Amino acid sequence: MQTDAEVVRAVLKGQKQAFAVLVKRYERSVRAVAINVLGDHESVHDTAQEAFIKAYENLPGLRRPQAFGPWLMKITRRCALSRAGQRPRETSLDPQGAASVQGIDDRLDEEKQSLLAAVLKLPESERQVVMLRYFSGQSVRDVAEALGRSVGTVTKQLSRAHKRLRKIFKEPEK
Amino acid sequence: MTAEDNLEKQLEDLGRTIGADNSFVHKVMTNIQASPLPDSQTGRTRHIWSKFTRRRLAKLAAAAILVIVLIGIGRLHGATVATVWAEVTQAFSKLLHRRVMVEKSNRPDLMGKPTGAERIKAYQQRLQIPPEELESISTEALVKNVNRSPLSMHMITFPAPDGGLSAYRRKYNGVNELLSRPDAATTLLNMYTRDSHNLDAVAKGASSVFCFAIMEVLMSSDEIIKQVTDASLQDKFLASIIESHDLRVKYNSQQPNPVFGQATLPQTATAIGKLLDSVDCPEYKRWYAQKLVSGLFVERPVTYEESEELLSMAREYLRKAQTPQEMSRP
Repeated sequence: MQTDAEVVRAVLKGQKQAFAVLVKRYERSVRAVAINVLGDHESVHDTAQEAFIKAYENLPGLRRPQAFGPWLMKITRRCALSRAGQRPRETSLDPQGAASVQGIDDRLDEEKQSLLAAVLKLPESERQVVMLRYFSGQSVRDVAEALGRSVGTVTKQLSRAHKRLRKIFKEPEK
Repeated sequence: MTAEDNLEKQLEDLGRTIGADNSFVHKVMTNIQASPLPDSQTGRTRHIWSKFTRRRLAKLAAAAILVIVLIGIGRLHGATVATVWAEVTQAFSKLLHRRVMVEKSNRPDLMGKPTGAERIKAYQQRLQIPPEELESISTEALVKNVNRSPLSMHMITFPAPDGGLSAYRRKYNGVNELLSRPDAATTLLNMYTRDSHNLDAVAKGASSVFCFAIMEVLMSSDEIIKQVTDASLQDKFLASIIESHDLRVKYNSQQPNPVFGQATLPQTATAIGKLLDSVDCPEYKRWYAQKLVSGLFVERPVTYEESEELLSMAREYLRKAQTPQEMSRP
């Protein structure tokens, strides 16, 4: 499995198709960030696409190719915030629009929303590992290879992330 | 089931809920195929440059460099900094007017209409002395016109009197005509002396209260200084300026509020300085040599302290010049 840095270099050398690896790897992470900002499912899909295209266009500006993941998350957040700013504040009276808003509530209940918010509050290194492991469904070995870290480091980071998440969930109960 | 398992299950469940669209990768890659391949070299340069140009500070720095370059070019062609600066600000105001009034305010209805700068130019054109009358007009009338023209404010508003004079020369055709007249120096001196002894009439509107400052700047011009080569005429000029200054100070002290303020003292001092420079005054030469900053009178106006020094220097020079004449009298 290629690391993010290797894929980025390959794309910059002219292998456009290599970018598909990054899209596949970060699709769910990007969606998660967009959902956290927008909540709206239709916009999430468009925002995710926009984020990947922007990342591709600005790839030469990425100073550290190994930091592709956090960089992409920042782009996604900016895109989502920009889209949120463009969106009218009032909910549309259009029945289709209302249906789509209803749809999100069905998909992400309150518990899931708070878990997602907690994941996005994690430190960068841990957040990246959690997203790739659980949202993208990759094994610990694959995550380690993708991020250019050792399996031991990824395991420790996952363990720390679990502790932190549990703490976040327990605190309100106190 | 342990708490650890439960959290992992919840996270996996969240991942599934977020979901992945099977066609998503295909859609993104289709869009990417249409866009050009990012060039690692040119793309990076463009990226850095766009970041740089977005910064307001960088834009200001670029503007400052441009102004410095323009001033340098102007200096090479013999123009003063004040002249170049006036040109630059005028050009900039034109651009700004267009951008603010037409483009930024989204006022396409203003397109094709004269800009503020163009209207001012037309107004200035109307204020000129008609060319057919320019040569026939008397020198005294020319001095009056130069004193009373609304454009004469250029003489006062520039920090250095020389800058004001060069701006006024460009704006008003009467100035160049006056300075080219062979009797300009004597006419100026006569009118200056006459107005100095009629301060009440000047204060009541017979002439602009700035007429002394305007005439003093005209007296300090190269053309007039070149006309005043005779030693006795030089002394007359100096004596007249000092007398006028003293009369104005005295007049002010008699009024509830000063009419001829201290704001035009640099103009008086500049005329004195230029005259002292043309006569044989060793004290002035020593004083001027002590000035570490160059460009006095031209780029830098005299300060109020320097003005007082120049006034006392001129008084001393006149006292010395008059003493031998009195001694030689029978």
